[in-house]
Amino acid sequence: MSSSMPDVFLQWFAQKQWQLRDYQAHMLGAFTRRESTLLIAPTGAGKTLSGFLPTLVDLHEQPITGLHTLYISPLKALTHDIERNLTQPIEQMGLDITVETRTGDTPAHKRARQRKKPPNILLTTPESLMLMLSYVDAKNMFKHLRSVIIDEVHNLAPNKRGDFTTLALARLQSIQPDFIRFGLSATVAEPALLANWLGVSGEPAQVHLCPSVTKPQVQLLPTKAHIPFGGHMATYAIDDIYTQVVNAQTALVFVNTRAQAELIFQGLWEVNDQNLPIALYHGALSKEQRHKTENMMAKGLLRAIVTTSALELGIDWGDVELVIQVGAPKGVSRLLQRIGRSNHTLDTPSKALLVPGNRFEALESLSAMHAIERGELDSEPMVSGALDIIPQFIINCACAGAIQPDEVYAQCLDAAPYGGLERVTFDKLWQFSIDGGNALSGYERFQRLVPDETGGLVPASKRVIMRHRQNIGTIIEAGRLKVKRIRRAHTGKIIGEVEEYFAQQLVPGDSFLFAGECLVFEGIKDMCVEARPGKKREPKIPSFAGGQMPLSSYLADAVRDLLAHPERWHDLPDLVQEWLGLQAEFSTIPQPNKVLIEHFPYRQAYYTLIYTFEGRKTNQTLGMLMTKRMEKYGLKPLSFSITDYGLSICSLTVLTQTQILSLFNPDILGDELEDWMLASPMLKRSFRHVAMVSGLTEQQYHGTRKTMKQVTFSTDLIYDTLREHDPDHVLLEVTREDAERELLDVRRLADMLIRYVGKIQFVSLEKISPMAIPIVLNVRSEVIKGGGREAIMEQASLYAEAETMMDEVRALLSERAGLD
Amino acid sequence: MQKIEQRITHQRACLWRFAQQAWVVDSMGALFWPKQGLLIFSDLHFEKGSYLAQHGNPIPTLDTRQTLVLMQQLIDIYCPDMVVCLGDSFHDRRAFQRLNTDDQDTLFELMQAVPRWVWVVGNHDPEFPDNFPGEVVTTLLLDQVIFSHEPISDDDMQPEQFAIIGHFHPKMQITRKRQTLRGKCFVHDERIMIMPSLGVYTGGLDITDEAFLDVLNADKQPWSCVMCMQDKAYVVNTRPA
Repeated sequence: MSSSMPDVFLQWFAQKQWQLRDYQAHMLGAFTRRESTLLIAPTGAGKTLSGFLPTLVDLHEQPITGLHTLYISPLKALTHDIERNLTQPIEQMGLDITVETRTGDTPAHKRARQRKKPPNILLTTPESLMLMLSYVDAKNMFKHLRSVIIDEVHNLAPNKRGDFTTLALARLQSIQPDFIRFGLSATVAEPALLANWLGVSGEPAQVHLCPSVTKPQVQLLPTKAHIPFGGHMATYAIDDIYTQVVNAQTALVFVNTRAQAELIFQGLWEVNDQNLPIALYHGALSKEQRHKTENMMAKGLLRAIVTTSALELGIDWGDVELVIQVGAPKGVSRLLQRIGRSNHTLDTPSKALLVPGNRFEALESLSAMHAIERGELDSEPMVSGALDIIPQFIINCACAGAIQPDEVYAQCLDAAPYGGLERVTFDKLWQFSIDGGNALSGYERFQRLVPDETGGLVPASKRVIMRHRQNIGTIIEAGRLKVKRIRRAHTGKIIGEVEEYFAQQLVPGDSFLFAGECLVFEGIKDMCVEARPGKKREPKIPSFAGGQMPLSSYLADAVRDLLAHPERWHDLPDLVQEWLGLQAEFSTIPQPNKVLIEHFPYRQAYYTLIYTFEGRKTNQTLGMLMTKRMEKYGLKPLSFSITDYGLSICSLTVLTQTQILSLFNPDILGDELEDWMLASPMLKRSFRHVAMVSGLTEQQYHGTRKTMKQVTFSTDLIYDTLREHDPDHVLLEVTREDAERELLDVRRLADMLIRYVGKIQFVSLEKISPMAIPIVLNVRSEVIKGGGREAIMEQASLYAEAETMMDEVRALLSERAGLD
Repeated sequence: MQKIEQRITHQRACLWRFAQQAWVVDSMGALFWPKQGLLIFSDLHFEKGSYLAQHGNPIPTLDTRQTLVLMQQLIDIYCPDMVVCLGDSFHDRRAFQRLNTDDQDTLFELMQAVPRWVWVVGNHDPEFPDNFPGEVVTTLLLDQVIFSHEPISDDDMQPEQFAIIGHFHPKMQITRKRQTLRGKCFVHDERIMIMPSLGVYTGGLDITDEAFLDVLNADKQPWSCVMCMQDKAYVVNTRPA
């Protein structure tokens, strides 16, 4: 095959009045040369077709039966979309090529058939690929594999799911060494990192860059409304958002959380006097609900969709005229990805409006706009592979046939994120996979692998295999309950899911917003929340944990930079400028080379505000360490809460400048760090995830999902037991590492503490400062166990009799002692 | 005696008046009656871990051992003349067989260190194996105080009598200065005291639950409570429900 195309393809291109673009030709060449390649192109460039074109040409020229190309996407919905988009050219050119999808939604009989008689092109997810590899017939299924296309690499690579994908690819490589990898990615700051990830360890993929030719036009939403101090919902701007929707032919309204999606959707319909078709789309809605919206979208029946990141990735929706981002953008790359959903062609600029939820978010929005203007992107650092996936991988390999440690270890090393995995660590994880390791090895429950007659290891029972297959993956869903929309008695349709935690707070008669309507809660039956449509005042809004997206460090720096340059403030809404002015007058504006710390009384306690601009993880760690130190000094901390911009510590007593300076000191990272971390509730949360991913415990069992409460109960106990009886257990090491990866940023914190020695600007105030309001209003706070709470208890505990009783008891006790 | 005083001074235990007597409530979850030299444990639920493990719940079954450690510590502090276990000491009828040899030895050693040991039966452990050490009783009357696992009907109580029961695993929460504080608790009205569970794998029932209104005198709130939090014990009152 050469990089020129067969006639039937040329004719089809001509019919469509398309030119073969340079990068498409490049991918054809790369396929022939057998070069794994990362294609980086802006949205709307026809990336997906570029990935598949070589496959279609090759299959046309040398038809085979069996699997030729595997396509992996992070989103189920995307596989269906791609199937549609691929079927079209195949039919139009009359090619004899079969295409199928395979995801968690694929019926069992079809999946079994696909393993025996796979299509030429299979569209799947990382989890489904791993599952296929757990069958004995995997070797047979993949023996003709020529290429693997991985879509949305920028989304997949920098997280656990990306690690998981590379392990699946490494396993695939060991079965069938002769396939190449094509990665498709949106524009990123450091393509080399992704190329590394895509290739086998030590052999990065080639990078092909396709530059974007236009810059998007981004503006702040013009509004006369009052931008609130705190909150993220941005409901204040509903009228203005609606006006924009009316004026645009089609609009995508992106929000940051599902709760916000429900609220904004409800708000828009309340002002929708023209009855425009506006729809709602997010991940908690049922499959049927989402398909319905997707179809309406494809037919062009909708004017606007309110959505979360669920529609952020490559799903095509014809001609979107306008993208509205409601809430802070959180990252430049993410914002560009969203904006790219508009005007899905390469040559005309996308149009977008930003709607900040509060005044801090206005700073963030403007910073992101400036970054886009300058063509700068944020980059996420790549970390080494997550260790809790290794046991899952080991069991997965064992399900397909007897395994030896050397062979599995070699496969792990082939996956780029695990290139540096040490043998001693692997051996511990290997032992853990066999019998749970040390303290846990006494329990039959954790015996997962046993030697077979050849000396290789195989699963101990059919149940081990079943449990493993039901729980493949790295995505830990918070406990969910289905929502049934009741019409009469207990019958009705499932319309989606809410979190267990939310459902447990509801009492019959409560109402809540879900799937775009107000539902009245009736009860929980058979793991279903039963509710019927109804009108009630002040409905609750289901919140979803993990809904908050972290601010990229690039953007955090950009905000700090914006604050330091008042001459750039004129682009901000008047109210926000006014707010900054007030802050300057009342307290002071944080400066780039200093850390501002404010201290003031508020709500029956004292608050210390530390403006670090170092992101959530750093602030979380700093909060934990500072409050521990306060506890040690008897300063009675009660709780702390964090945002991307700063840390707020609530304490029972007033703090002096000297005290605060002694807290904000690099030595808080001393020896105690270890103990402090192990005791923190955060580590228990990490352990819960690690326990599930590594297969210690599972959510899905015999087809029924355990409630999160049950899972939490048992993992917390195991954690405590291990800490007490087997503190060196490998899973505790993994937990520690996982927490550092996902929740903490000790290195960044250390850098910051050292950088700012002697550069603290301390301000003591009589009341809360304008800039502190959005941070203090953040409701999620971490409770500190210790002196502060004891002091509160002592105040609550008044028992005058205790004094006089002491003598009485003393007398009784000595009387008894005398009797002996 | 010094150990007890120290514990009270450091708020690890507190003094409490009930049935016109002085009691020492230990934050570990046990009750001591100085006048009788009596130490009371309630709802130990031995072998709950192995019970749950049978049902596929992957719990490390070290709960009995941990509960025994607590009991050992309490006995060392209070040096009681007598111990009463207030029912549900064993989680289920088969728990006796599942108790492993080490734990059984530890338990019997503990029992030997105390002159008198009484098992009050509960709904989880209505029958004890023959020849099991210690006295096994349905209820126990001592100095006008009835010890029982479940509540006693008014007919079975003389006007001058009091009762101390288990069964409910009470816990409570209070909110002060926008902080919510939680812990297991002891609670009494003028005649009945309910003890929390000592077993390590036991949950709790909030004292605002209606079940408590059937047992304690609802008209005479506030009830007096001792809340155990962060290894300390605090006397507080309930707010009337």
